[in-house]
Amino acid sequence: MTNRELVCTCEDVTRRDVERAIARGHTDMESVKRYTGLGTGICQGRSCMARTAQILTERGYDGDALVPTTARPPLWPVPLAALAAGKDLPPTYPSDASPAWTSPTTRRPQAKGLAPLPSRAQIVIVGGGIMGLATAYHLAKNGISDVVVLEASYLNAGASGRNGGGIREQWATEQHVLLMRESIALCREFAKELGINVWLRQGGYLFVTAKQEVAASMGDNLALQNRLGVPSRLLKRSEMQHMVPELETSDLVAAVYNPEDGVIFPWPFLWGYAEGARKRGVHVATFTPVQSMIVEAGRVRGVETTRGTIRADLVINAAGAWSPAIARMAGVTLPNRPERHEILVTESLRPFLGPLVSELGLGLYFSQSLRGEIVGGLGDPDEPMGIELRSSQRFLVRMARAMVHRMPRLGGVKVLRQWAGCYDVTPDGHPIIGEVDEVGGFFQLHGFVGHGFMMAPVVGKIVGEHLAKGTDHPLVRDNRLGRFAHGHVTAKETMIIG
Amino acid sequence: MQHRKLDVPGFFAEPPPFEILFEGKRFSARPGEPVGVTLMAHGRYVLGRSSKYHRGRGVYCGRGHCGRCLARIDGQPNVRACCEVSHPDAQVESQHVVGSAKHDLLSTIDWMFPRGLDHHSLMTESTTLNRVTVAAARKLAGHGELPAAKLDADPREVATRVVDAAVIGAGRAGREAYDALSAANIDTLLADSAADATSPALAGARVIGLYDDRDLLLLKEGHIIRVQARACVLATGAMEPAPTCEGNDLPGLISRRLCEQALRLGVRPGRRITLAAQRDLDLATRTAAHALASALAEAGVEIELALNLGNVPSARRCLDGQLSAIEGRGRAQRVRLDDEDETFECDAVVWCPRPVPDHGIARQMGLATPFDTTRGAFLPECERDGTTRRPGLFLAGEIAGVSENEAVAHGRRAGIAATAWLRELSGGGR
Repeated sequence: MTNRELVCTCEDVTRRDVERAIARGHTDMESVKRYTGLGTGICQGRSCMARTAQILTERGYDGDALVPTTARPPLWPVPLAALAAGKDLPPTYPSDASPAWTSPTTRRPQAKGLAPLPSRAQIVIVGGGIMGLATAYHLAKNGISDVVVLEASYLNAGASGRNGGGIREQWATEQHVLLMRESIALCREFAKELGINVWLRQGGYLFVTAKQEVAASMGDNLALQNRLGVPSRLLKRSEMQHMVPELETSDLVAAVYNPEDGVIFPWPFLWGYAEGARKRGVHVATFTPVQSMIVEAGRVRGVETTRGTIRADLVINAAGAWSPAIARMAGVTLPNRPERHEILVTESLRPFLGPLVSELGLGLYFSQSLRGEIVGGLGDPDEPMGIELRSSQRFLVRMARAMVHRMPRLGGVKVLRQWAGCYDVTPDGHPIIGEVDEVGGFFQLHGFVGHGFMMAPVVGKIVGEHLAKGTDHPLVRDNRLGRFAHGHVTAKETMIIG
Repeated sequence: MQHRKLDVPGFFAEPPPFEILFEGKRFSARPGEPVGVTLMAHGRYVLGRSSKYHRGRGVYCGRGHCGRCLARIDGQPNVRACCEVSHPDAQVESQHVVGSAKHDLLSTIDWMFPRGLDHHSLMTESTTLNRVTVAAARKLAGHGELPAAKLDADPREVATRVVDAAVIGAGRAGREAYDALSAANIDTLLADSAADATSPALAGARVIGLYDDRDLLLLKEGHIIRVQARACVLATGAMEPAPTCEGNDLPGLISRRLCEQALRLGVRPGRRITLAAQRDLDLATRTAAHALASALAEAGVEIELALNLGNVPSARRCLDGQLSAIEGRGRAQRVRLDDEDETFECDAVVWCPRPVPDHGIARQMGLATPFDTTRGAFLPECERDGTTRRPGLFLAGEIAGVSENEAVAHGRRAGIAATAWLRELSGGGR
């Protein structure tokens, strides 16, 4: 065996890998974990966290950079069947019935060694998620590189780093279908263009339902998709069983499959876009939250951050679930509501599940990642609105029951970890993009309701080109905030999952 | 070749051995032996292969912390062989190998990438090649196979136990805390992950977390038990980090505590070992390492080298120095030191680090765990008597950063503190 010094024996991360990550700018525990993969295996960080902190210390990092990654339950692998026991449901947490003592797990550590902020830029983008970074990249590609991206925490701290990695063309509205066809095409070229692997696997999405009323709308959506060139098709029960032999199909009334849909690994998208943008002169600042906005004579003129003021001609609000808070700073009220959605991941298994399975009408989805883990989520109709990133027992129990029902073979499969992120929900399920009537110089780019990640490659391109070259595009024209006030709301997007 | 202690005259007759299967071959086992120790007795240290480089993997810590000893046991994937006790005809299979654990055809990957494989930039130059690479990666990935048997959800509701105090961990500190609480007539649940508890503990119950800031969920024999306690004493102990040298993942490198456990079960870790300690060892670990050296010698194990332990009479060589590498063909066979040309041959390396708190559970329950650079460990914040900033949550023993020598006294203090807190909660003492 080659001589190596291992830091994480679960994922084969060496000391050299950790040092390389630090050299590439991943200088806090959460970032090193994500970039190297350490701590994501069966021991969930028990063996490697302290060693990583020691290496960071040797490189001169301390304080908040050494805070270990968020401790999430379960602390030991637990079979889904054990969690699915019984019928009682734990109450929503946190709530009055189930108050929280632990603090919310969003952390905004003050990392040191950050490059000084410029005092002026042509464009400031608030939010270093995939939407903001993709846009910054395309702005720079189109000649505008005097851009500053401000991320409040580490890259991948928000929804961009918490999603299940699904990408699909199957939608209920023409806007989304067309956007996603282009976005998947861009995803296919991403590794080559940005020089970093995103592990795209087009294994398809299998949408199923046990509800007749949903089956009817699935048929309508199918017709729309086919008209727009998506090769989605209805599946007979026997075809479903052949495609996913472990699937419980006896109570299902409809199934639609599109082989072009697939899954990716989210984190490298952000590193790729950030690096691509930086190479072209964009300033990407992490650990730099925006505290207030400078508004003069009916225009946003800049932002005030924890590390200084930046004046700008245009401020883009790409802060996802935090967009309403950012908009308030400019005196703008958004109709967006953040809503927690939880995910769990299981132990790693040899590949057996081809498509991502999603049960419409229930809000269940799960797929097998490239590393072999089953990753999935389940929406909760009783989930209250609000920014909430803590994990709950209720989700774990509901999810285990749903998974074990839909795929009984998963009963013995063990859960390693659960986490949560926020969907940025709008009243009509469509994003909010473009300038607002209330104040000038303030461009909205949010409201993607849990599917912003998959759309960012194409949305970033369209918005970047629009802002740089003035190209018109229905995406920017038809999704303005003003539509709610003027009553020009388009058909609601109903194929929201998770 | 078996590494078992000879029967000592005067002891009770040993119970009849039975057999387990590993990769289809039969191996004799004794009751109470974890699978990993059974195979250690037969010189089998390589149980599976690692995720990326297909390096050998086997037992190291013996307590379920490190996750290196995964195997498929009785049709269940990704089971820690150090925690699963051998039983007659137990089926143990290696995972993530093509061939066998010892001779995995894919281990060439380790040779092919001497400078490491940066998966981020692998094959990104061409979209077609990238697609092929991703497809290949998927085929190679994944550790376990789906479990053989279908496991149905238990139709019965999860049992909820409401108690005044819960003590998690029935080691030295946990039992002291439990005794203090019981003596004060406080309704206390004691739980321990070990299956053969010789205490009033709920045996084989592993805590999986504090859910919803209220429910302690325990996993026992595949079922969840929900515990609601007003006070909780965490006595889950400490971990033994691996050394920081090259080859620190080689099978045949085991921790002091695993070695102690093996010897107690009558199993030698090897014929000739290196007993190595970290530099600046604390007194408790040093004492324990010396005691281990004696036990090893008594068991007929040759100690080729004793490192950083001062004078160890039974060792052939005693040196002070820094481990620079553990080497060998697929397992630990040789030890190399900084500033020393000589290498030391052995068939196992026993590593004696200062234990560090298993802090994840403390963090999950809301405690801060600042990093102590001197100890190289995260130390959960607590007072001298185990009181934490979370009302009703106490730390006892090694989880608080104290040594195993201090664990008993610390556990007693924590039990007393928890008792006092509960008394005050219910409106004054009695």
